[in-house]
Amino acid sequence: MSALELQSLLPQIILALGATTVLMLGAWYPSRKWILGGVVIALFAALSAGLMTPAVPEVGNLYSTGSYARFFVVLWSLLGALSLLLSLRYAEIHDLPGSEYCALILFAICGMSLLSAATSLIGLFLGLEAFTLVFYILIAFKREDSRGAEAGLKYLVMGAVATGFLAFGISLIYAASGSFHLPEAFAGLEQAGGMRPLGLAGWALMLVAIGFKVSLAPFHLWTPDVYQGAPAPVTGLLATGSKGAVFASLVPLFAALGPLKADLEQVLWLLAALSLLAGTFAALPQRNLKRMLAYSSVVHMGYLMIGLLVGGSEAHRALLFYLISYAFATLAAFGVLTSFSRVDDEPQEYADFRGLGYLHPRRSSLLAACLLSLAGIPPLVGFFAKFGIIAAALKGGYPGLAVIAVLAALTSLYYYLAPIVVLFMQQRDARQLRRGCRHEYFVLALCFSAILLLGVYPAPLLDLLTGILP
Amino acid sequence: MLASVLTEFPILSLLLWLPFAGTLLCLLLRHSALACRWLALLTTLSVLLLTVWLFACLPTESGWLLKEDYAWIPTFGIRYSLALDGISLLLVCLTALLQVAAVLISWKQKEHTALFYALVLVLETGIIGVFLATDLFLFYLFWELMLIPMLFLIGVWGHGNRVYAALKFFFFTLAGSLCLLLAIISLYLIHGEQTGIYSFAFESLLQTQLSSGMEMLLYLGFLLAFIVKVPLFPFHTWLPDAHTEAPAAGSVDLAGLLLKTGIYGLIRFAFPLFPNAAQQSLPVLAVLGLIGIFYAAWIAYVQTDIKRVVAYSSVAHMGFVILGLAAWNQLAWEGSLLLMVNHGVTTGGLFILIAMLQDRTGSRDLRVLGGMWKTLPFFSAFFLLFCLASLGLPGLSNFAGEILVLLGTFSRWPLLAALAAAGVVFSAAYMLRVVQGVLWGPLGQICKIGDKDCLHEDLDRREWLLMIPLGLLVIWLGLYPAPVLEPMRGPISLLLKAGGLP
Amino acid sequence: MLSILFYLFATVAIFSAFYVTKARNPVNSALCLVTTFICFAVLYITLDAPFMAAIQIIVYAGAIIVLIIFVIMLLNLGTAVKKRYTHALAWGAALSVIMLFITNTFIRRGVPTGKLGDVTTQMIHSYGHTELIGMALFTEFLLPFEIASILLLVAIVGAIILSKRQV
Repeated sequence: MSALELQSLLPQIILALGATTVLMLGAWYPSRKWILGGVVIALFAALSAGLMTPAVPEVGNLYSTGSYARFFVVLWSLLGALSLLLSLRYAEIHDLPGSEYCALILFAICGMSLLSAATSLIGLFLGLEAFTLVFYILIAFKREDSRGAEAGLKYLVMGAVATGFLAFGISLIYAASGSFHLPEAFAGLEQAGGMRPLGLAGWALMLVAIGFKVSLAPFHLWTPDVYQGAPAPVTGLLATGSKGAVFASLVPLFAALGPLKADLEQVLWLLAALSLLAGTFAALPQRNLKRMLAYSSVVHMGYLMIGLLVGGSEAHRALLFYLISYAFATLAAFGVLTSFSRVDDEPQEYADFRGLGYLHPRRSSLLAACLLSLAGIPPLVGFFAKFGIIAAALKGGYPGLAVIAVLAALTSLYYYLAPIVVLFMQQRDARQLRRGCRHEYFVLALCFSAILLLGVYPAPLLDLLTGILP
Repeated sequence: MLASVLTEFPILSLLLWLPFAGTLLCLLLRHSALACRWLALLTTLSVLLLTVWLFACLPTESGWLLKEDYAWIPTFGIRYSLALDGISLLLVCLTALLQVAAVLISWKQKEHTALFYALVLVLETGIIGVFLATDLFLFYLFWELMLIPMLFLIGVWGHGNRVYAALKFFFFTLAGSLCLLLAIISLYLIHGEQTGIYSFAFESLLQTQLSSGMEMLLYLGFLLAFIVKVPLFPFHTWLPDAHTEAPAAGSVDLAGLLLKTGIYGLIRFAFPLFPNAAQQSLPVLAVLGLIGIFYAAWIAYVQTDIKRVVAYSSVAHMGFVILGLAAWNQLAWEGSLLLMVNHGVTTGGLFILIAMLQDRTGSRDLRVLGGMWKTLPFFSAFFLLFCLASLGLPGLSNFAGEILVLLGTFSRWPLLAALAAAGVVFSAAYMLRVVQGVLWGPLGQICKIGDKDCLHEDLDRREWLLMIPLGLLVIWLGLYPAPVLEPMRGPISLLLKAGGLP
Repeated sequence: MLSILFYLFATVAIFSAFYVTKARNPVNSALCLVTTFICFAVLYITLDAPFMAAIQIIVYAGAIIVLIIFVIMLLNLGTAVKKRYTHALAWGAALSVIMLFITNTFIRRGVPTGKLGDVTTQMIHSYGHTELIGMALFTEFLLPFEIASILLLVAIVGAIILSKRQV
């Protein structure tokens, strides 16, 4: 490793070293203010990724430092900073250890940004493990909460199985091609115009692992319990960053796969369609906001799979746009839940939200806006995201998937409107929830403006995405 | 002077975004109900003045009168393009007028006042946007934008079974619009593959070459979205619920404006984009329209809720409109569009009167109401006027439209026209039943809760202000509809020639 | 000879792995796990990877199993922890065996062997396995090695946080 390579990897190093520093200082000076320090570190990493030109295009044949990778470093750092800000009050109320919490989130961001930058299967594995490991801990962070412990255990067991599948899949691909580095690793799989059986087996195992990590049907069963049990800000990061980082890494992965993707097409089709259908039907009867968002995230992952399946720069752009729109809306939704939570409970049943729209109008309207954006109602950004995916599906020659996607979008309105109906169209019978604080309002306002502005004027982001796509 | 103002100043954008600015201000001033009320009135009034000014100034030509066009999302070839011709000008005028009425009728709105007016104003932006947009993506955006405020208006301020009605309305229309979305995207992609230029602009999409099967498929996508909104006979079931449960302003907007967006979509986009498929579908549309007329009349006759009667009468009137469109000639189309405007005014007025009645008596039930002529003479006079207009009494507004539709249809389908003429008699039956139940008969002993003396106040100043212009309009449109027909004539002849406007 | 050894130890590994889940006494389970690990170590030796074998014995069969047994003793789990295995389990096992055969025949249709790398048996004999691994770890795979250390740090922090009673 040369100094140039170290310099090119600066954002990730800032995150890792910053996390370690916070951890160490927190041991001597325990305070929840370290979370603010974490925000500064994350922003610093984002700045260094955004402004600095890396000296080498690729570090150690593992991680790219291209504009695509740096874009995601910025994105995950910002998301991490936002969720840290959201957690500030939450950590105080629930008596969470500040410096450890902050360090863990920074480590998670580091892992996500490594994952989205991975150009080698080893890099992919390590990045993925880095933040998955953090989430094992963060999900069970509220030790007194038995649901949290259950969620943590569930995620641990499922995650460990997925890791095993991933490692086995990678080793099969390595055995077949003799390389971890991306284009070569997949180029070695080719045989007589198709993929070698060993490569197919490796890919099958990898897809299982990926399915677990991003909760694609039929590997999605952990999602609702984990969403429900985890602390709300952690769920926000889990739903956005962790799933998003996996998809961000899949885009170059499938781009490197090239024409060999044809062999995986049927499986991908099935994964996408199953996720759309299973998620939709499971979300319909939910009366708990977190569980509903969990199942609906399965549907969203189905939409993202469509983008992946279609392939090509336009579909990938649509995918990334969808990812970003989903991330902001989901983070804001969990942000609202965070800001409503009190010492004893975190409101998540629909009954808790009855008539809240007139008691806490700003946050309730924001929650409604997030849900409508996720449902794809214009002029919010979710509409344009869905439009892009459906257009890509039709253009790529998948009219069946496009129809399923549209039907899923229509049905999704039912479960997204249910909480809105409860919020605004029912009489208040419960007490007031917690008042928000400034940090939370700041984060929520930021997410809301992203949802609205990107929906009304998505052209700059689209241009940016066109520019960074390899 | 005027010409330069009209070409240089983005007046369409002003028209479109003025109500939206009102929304934002309303939300800012949400702690003062009074300020919101006046703000909403001021905004809608200024939109009305603007449109009336445009109506008076603009020449009656057949092409686009005003245009605006800016790049918006170049990656997808989406443009922010608005245009106004005679038909959209009339409909925008109607929108502006009915929105003023909607604000005035809900003057005493007490619950969540700011949100209410904000939603009414957003709705106005959405509807005006639908009438102005010529980029299909932009059109779809406004088309959807109308849904959310309406959902809330019904769901939050509605009566009785409001959430059910709101959701039913929402899902019916959304199911239609998603078909529209799929069709729009497909058309966009087909056009892009043929020409290499990906664009949502209406003018470019008109040039698309389609195989007849594909044309029919896409046309059905468009048609479904629009006839659900109209609503045509088998897709009308959302309408009675939504109308009945909606608050007064919501009913006025629904009947007066939202239904018109469906018709407007048909004649502006669906017919010109897919002329051959449209021609094939005309007999079906005509028959469905005819069934709608009779079916709605039949159902309306047995309703006891006045609002439901009026709601079903809307279905019947829209059947007439569709029948006229299906006849596909100048006379019938003029009649259809005139009937559309007239229906907006009369039905809007009826819903306003029903809201006043409910305000005073707390009931809309024909079985308990009665004898209002004795206690509320002025109110009853207006009620009679609007009911007679609605049933198509010669000399009042609806008659002019209906007679043109019947004449136009007769030249193409004499049998259907003859049957439809019988439908007019049916509408007289149910409307007169309403008149009899509300105005004549023994005095209904129905009072608002807490109103011990059971004294019903007659119209107050605000209500006079509201009813006089509407009443005059009803008479004027019935006696002398030429000023309304004049600006439509050119655009209609262009639309009928197929290919739509330049 | 070598293939006989392979099949022998592979069979033992699979069966003891199965008994890990089936045994009703957790201590038996743990011991079966040790057996599995030792079989793996033998397989590593037959593959000319003595260092991996040693690590397998020291870390897994040694340290981790000791920890597991400690936990079992501390929690004082009885013999009745495991439920009787149900028919679902049997069906699952049958299904996975079928899947195994399908996968096997499927893979054998192509070229099952992989691409050979730079490291040959002779190199291992002349340099030594440990040296080769060390070289690879600290030159080519230095960055992954460092990232793995971050993973360990996270794991330690997590273990402390989740087990600490009072912050």
